[in-house]
Amino acid sequence: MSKQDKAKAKRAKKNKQIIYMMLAASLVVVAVMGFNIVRISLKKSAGSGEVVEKTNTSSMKNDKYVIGNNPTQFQQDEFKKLTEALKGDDPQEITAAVVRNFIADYFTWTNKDGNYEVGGLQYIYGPMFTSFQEQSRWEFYKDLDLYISQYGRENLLEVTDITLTDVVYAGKFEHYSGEEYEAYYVEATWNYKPSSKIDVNSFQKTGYFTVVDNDGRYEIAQFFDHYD
Amino acid sequence: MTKQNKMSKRKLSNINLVLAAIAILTDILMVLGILNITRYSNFSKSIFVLINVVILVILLVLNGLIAYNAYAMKKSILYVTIGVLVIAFLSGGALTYITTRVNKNIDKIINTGTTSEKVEVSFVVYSENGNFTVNDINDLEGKTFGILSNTEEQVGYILPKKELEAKKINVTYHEYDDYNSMLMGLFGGEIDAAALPSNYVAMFEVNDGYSEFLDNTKAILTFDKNITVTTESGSDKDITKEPFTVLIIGTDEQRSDALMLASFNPLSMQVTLTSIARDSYVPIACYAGKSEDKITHARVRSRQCTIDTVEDLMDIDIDFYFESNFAGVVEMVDALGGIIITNPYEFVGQRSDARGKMTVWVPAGTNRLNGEQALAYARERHLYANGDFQRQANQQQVIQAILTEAMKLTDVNKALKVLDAAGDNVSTNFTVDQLISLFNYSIKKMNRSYVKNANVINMVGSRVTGYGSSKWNESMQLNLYIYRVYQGSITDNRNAILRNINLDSKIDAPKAISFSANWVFTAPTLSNETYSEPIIHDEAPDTVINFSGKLLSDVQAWASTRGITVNVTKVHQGEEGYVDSYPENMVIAQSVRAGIKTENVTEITVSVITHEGATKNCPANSYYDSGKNACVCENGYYAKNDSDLNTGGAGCIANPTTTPTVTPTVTPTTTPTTTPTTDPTTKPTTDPTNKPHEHTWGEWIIDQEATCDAPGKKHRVCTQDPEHTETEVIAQLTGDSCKAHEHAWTETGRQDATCDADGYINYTCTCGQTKQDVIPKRTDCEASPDPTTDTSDGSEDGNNEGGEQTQNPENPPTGFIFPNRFFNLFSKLFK
Repeated sequence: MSKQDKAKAKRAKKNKQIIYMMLAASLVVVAVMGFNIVRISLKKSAGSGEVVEKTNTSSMKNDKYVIGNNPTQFQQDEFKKLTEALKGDDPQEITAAVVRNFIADYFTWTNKDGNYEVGGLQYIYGPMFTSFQEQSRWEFYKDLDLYISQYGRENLLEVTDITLTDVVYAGKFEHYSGEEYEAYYVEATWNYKPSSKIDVNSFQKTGYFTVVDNDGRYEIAQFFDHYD
Repeated sequence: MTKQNKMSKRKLSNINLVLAAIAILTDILMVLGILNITRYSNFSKSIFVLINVVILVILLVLNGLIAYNAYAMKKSILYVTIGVLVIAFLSGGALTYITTRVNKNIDKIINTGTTSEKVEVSFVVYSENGNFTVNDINDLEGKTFGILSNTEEQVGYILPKKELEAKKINVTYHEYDDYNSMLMGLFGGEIDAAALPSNYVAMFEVNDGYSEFLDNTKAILTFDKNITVTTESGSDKDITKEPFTVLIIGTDEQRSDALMLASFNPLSMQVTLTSIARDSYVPIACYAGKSEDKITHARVRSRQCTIDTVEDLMDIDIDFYFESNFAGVVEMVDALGGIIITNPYEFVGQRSDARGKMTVWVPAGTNRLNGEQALAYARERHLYANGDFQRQANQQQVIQAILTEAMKLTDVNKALKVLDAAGDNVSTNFTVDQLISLFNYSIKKMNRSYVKNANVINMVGSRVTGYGSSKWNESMQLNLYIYRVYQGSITDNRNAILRNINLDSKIDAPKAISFSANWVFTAPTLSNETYSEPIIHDEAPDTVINFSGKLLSDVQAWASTRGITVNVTKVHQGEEGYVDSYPENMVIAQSVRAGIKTENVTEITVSVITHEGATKNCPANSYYDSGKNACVCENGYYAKNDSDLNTGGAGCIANPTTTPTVTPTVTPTTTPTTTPTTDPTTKPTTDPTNKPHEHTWGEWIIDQEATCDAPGKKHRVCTQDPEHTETEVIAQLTGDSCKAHEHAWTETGRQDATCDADGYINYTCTCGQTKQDVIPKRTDCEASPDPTTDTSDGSEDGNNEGGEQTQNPENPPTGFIFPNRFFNLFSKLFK
């Protein structure tokens, strides 16, 4: 064998060794990574707390409002009416639709994930909605966690029908910031789906609403549970 | 095949071998990095599986390329291989480095098992007058030695005993329930030495009245040992389903200076945060018989002692703890690049590493504060009327601000720095998986909100209220400040926490809601400020008061009503403590310190100031009046300021109606000689070694004339050595000419203004004072014939007429002067 052939053979042997080496390395990598992938897949999470799966959140919206999370059929129907009302420019009609949508969302608990998820916030006077959210968590939504854990979400409040009086123009609504808005007044009563677990009739079922035209967006500036 | 090609093949083969080695190293680095991050896979299993698969594919491709390269021996593939390898190797290196660093810090933070900790013990002695009888461990033979009664306590019991036994020193042990009692035993002479943590001074000096005692202590021996510390694991609750409690502890020198009990409800996302004042005087769980002490001292014994104490106090099980020391706050805030804090008052606080040194300025308003500023803000209490409680609120604000900034982190380097800071200073017994699942859960909740800026977490702050009280300590003869908590407040806070964590709580009757945009909602408080409970104040005995600054007659009156004899030591001028401005008979020292019970005192010696026989160096034209104990002006002179006269200031000056006896040595009209009489370059005739010599002074040279308003200055130079000069002040001019008057100015010179330059008028008053008035440049000159200057824009500003800027002398430019009218607008802006 010539010197040249010897060198060639030596090189070939070295190259073979490299190929085997890389093959072995690949096998080790596949084994370790494969094991790791299985380990991750089988790993149990330390938390199994459930969050209500969001449904139908962005499918229904218009120029001004978006439907709330996990809307009931009643909410969806009301939202459609609101979208229709917005196509016209009748303040009374829009006011009525806004109030109906607020009631349908705020007073329905079957689709709420927890106390933090206060419904109908988008229908509240913009500058005050975070304040209203906090107030709700201390008042109407205060014990929602207890209701959910003790009675099950599906057995809680769900608004099924709303009756409104005629909407009337109420002049100017003056906010303490000095802003003034055209205001409309309407009275509402509503009913809940019967529940075998809670007395739905012991919950609020009436409201006296004032809605303002906040630069083309109709928002609830005040509502009371009784009429003084 | 050419020789060159042959060489190339051989070379290629060798390169392949090197590349194969690097590829295997890359495989190892990548796999290590991946294994490191697997502990966080609960963030998102699918993403982590995907990452594993992608990395696996990359590594297989890389290995395949190397193998194919060895097979094909082609240069073109080699270049691609090298490129992929370099990227993979660097990525693998970075991945392993970052994940190892992260894991190291996470392991430090997550404290769920046994760890090794270094502890330092000091053998401490006390002497009221600084004459220590025990100066060395060997001097302890036969003495009484204070240790803790808890036989499992390393610092206070096990280690000191072992040390004394190892050195074969026989002592009589005296056991105490806690370090505080041991210190009091030491101060009261019950024991000769005590075993304390080496940082005992910093630990206890915050107690009112302790500093004086601690100053008189000495550590005769300090040694350290590594001990094994076991921390109770946190709860194994599913914290995304079940509400839980966390004790947040802020430590400083092993004390718990901030204590907050938090509860979290994962369904309502409501967090209650209840602060407990550090001076709250409560039963300490790890003290024998659960004796009472300030809650801050529980942490000195152990973290578990603090947790148990709060559990006992609130009657609530604590599931987890989260602890951070104050140094950690500084480092974390700095690593975050500061936090936004709204501070109502500007103040200067103390640095974290320099107790007592007030050097950290905290501005008022909403500002980004650095670590030291944030800590100073969290510690500050003296500034506020409600002291410690405002501090607790501020601490809550700092925690929220840190969390807010941490949530915004996008810079990996910054995040690693924050983690480094946290690793060194933060500890918790949450597991990584618990924290990850809570994080994921919270993110899901946040994602549900369809309203921007709606708050998902409802944080409710509260505190255990109480009142300041005092506790008489017999051994220290001290009234110590304590804070007694209202049982009503504990109950109210407990009820609020229990409501938050107990999902089986009784549901209140539904309430209707009303709302108005004109109402501002204020969340209800969980605890009242006061409760109708009996207020407990220890009846403090009649004690000696601090007489410093009082008059002897006051001391005598006080002592006579108590049957105490007063001895007086007079302190004369020149004796220690004498201050000539103090009034006669003012007390500067007392033999019995303030706070000692008067029933134990029969006589007291006070040192008082006396000015008898005192003399005083009074300034010019004044003399010392011993009756007045002050310098007074001689007849015909007056002092501009009496306090100056007695504190070495200006002397007395002649009354305006009197001819002064002292006149300036040089008249103001004297022409000053501006050069020394000797040539400074001339080599001095004196000994070059600067041997002392009698100076031969040259003429006085006036540097500055004296005026009615200020003294002047003159100097003279030694003719033998020009480096020697003597300077003297020329007395300020006095007399009638300097008396305040309406100046009678006479024009002494004038230069009229031109179109190009200002003019001036010089005036001189009869008193010698001069002044100069400026005559502004002329503005009535003809326009410049310069054709490049536009003068036709109708501007009302006539300054540019003439093609050149004419400056208004009353408003000279401070910025740039621009060449034409257009730029003049900018010039005005700059002004």
